[in-house]
Amino acid sequence: MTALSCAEARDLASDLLDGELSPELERAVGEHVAGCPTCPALYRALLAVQRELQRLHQEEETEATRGAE
Amino acid sequence: MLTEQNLTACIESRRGRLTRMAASMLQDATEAEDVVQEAAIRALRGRDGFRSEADVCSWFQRICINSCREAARKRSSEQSRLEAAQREALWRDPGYSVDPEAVAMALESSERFKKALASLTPDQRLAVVLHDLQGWKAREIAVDSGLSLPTVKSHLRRGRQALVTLLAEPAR
Repeated sequence: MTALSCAEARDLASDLLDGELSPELERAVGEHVAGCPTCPALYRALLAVQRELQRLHQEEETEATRGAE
Repeated sequence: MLTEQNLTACIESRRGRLTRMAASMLQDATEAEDVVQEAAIRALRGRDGFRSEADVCSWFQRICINSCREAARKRSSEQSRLEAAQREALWRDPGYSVDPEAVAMALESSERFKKALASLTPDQRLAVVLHDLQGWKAREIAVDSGLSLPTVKSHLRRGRQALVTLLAEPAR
């Protein structure tokens, strides 16, 4: 597989966080991020946003359960 | 034939969830209630056109989602579309990066997060709200919004990227 550009790796990073990449693409994103001066920080920031969204989703679920009781 | 009673039962069973979705989309609890109510009226008026083989609750949900997109699009200005395009261009620039610590700090402020979410394009917000905040599958969003699956995934990607960019900016 040819090396990914920054734009490609950044787009795929979102799918990676959703666990939707093939092992081959996952490896390609990992290789790009490991050798790139700018993408690791963007990946860490995306991960932080993703975690916050998951936390808010949990809150939403709890609220919905309470509302249904 | 779809009876008014069956449709009303469906509307009421989904009202809370759909109002929360609309509130996240529109960042306005009162407008969210209005949008869901208008969707309910639209569904009740149009129930004769309902195809009996389709699921009635999904049908109502689709009406709600499209009413929400419509309301969000009406609010969206030319300036906000231009800013969204500029944010997208940043992510295609190999030299672009952010300080992840600044993003993590900004995430501690629910006001900053709400403001960033409100700055997404209506379709990006729809994808992020339904997928990430409400736990829908991208395929379900595609079916209910009438968008294709690749388009929904693209809005989701761009929406998350835009959140990073907006949260990385110094607080205004």
